[in-house]
Amino acid sequence: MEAAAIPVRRSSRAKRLVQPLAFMATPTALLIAFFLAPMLVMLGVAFDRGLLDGGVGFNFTLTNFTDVISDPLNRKVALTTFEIATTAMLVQLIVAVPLAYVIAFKAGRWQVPILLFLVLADELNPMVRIYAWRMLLGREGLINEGLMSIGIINHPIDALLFSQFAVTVVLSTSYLTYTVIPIYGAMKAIDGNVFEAARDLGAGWWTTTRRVLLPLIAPGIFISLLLVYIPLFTDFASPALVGGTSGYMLGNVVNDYVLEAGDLNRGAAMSIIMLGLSALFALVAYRLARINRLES
Amino acid sequence: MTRPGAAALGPLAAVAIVVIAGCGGGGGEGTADVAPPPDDPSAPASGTLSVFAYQDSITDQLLDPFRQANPDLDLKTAGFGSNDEGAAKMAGGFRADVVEACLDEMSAFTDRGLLRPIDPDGIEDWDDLVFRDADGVRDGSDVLVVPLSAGPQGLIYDAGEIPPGEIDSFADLFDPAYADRVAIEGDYALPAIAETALSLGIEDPMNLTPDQLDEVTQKLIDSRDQFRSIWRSDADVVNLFRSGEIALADGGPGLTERIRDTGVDARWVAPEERPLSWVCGFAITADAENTDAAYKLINWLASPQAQAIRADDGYVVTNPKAIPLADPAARKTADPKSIANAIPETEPPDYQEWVRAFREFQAQ
Repeated sequence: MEAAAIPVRRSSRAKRLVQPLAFMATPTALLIAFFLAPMLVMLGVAFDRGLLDGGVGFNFTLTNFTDVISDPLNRKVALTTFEIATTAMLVQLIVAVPLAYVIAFKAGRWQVPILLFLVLADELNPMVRIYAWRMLLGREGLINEGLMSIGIINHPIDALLFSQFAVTVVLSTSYLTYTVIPIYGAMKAIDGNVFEAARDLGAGWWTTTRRVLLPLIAPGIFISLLLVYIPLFTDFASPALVGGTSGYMLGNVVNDYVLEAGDLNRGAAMSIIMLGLSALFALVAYRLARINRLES
Repeated sequence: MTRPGAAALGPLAAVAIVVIAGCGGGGGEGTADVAPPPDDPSAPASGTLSVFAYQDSITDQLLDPFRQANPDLDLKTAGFGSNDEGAAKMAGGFRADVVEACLDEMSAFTDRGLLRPIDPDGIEDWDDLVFRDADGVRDGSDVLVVPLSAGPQGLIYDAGEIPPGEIDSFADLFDPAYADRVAIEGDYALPAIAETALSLGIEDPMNLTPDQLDEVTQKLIDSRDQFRSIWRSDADVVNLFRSGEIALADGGPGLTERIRDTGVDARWVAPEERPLSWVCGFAITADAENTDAAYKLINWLASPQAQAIRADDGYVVTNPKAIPLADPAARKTADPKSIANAIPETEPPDYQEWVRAFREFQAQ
């Protein structure tokens, strides 16, 4: 009986090994074909002096990277981008955490409709959304007209549009859905009794938020950062349409390298650098989130 | 009318698209032999023809008569925002039979060997076309592009905001009296740099010395607060005027008409320094598979009938025979003589420096 049991165990063990591999084969193949392969080609272009640009063969060079990094103009734009993207991310978190809290714990039967509304709002074409903001923030826009009609201002506030402020506002609202939903997901996993326990132990709302809520939703914030903060660095439509002469960001630099200067190699190098920095940021964010709660 | 602005592609997506397209090879390895004209020019075209051009040049209004005359031809169109963008995509493997190329940006295509010479004998109206001998049409003795549209670049102002007669120079773009009510074209670097050079009294704006380019760059940077926005497409500048954000911009008469259509009392002025002028046309690509259909399309676009449609859209035509067929209101603007005294936009020898200078202005 024991001798007969061994092949059965072996067969079941082999099955356990093969089944997940077979199950994963298709998505893995798709991932390689549609994600990794283009990435590898882009890497090749970034390290080549002219692979797709009239050059013959592959000529390894680091020049594209050194050129991009050593250009003081790019460093300046990187700083502007960092300022705008970080401000936009902070604004989104400031809005998203209370909003997610309300949806998760206070909205009751309105929970799903509010979530649906957030998702639908995100489906709006980005260009339409940006132009809607132009109508709101413009010199003759609703905000300026409204403030003037109630006598708060006598002249339109020009800085509302075509400024870094406008870029920050537009970026902050463009990705709000992707900031709220992961945080909402993290909040739904929290047992509401912990807030009651905190109150019973004498914690005020700020202490409860800082010592209970934020640590528990750290994984959600981490996912939000991954989904939102990194794309903020590459956005180029918003700065182009509402930034005027002061919203030039790294996304615009890549755009200009590729589509204006026709320099695919430096454009790819710039993208790889941004990707590398994003990975570094993701690692740091992960570490910070893990310190708190992610593993649990 | 000006050339449309950049497509709303994410820059990383733009890199990815170009790179992914590159997996398929293509582009770059052009053949130097002249594309043969069709044996029977009157026979309808068949097969598939891919056209890659500015969106304004591939409108249904312009192409539908060609489609009707060639019912067995599958005509596919794709738009780009600038010649550099189009050339970068083609170099990455995007395949087209016919591409629109502007004379001041020809090197984007020729440096990569993306074009195939055209036999002018295959173009029925060739001898009638003005600009057929302009710089950029030929590479040596080879004809690379058939000029099909043109336009002047001057100044547009809102007469409801600025009294007529006040605007007469590119220097007005930098006049503090209009501060924060001005927009300047930014879909490619050339117009802004050339116009700034002219405003500084530089007489040959297409051949700036490094010192002159530095002077222009500094002028733009110093005047940053002068500009409310940098416009990147016709729709963009129309919207800026309509929403009251600006009262003055650079542009052409066709664009002025579009602004007027929205109710703004827009007026076009040829600046005293002379307007700039651009010329664009269609070329056959090195990878073209359906050269018969390519010739037929170019012949249609060069015909008086198609040129009259372009005239009604506000363009300067290249075939003067189209002028009597055009709307009487459009004839003056459409006449090639209207840009006879303009400064032709030609590709500066150090255009990459111009691009960088414009980036420097935007990054401040």
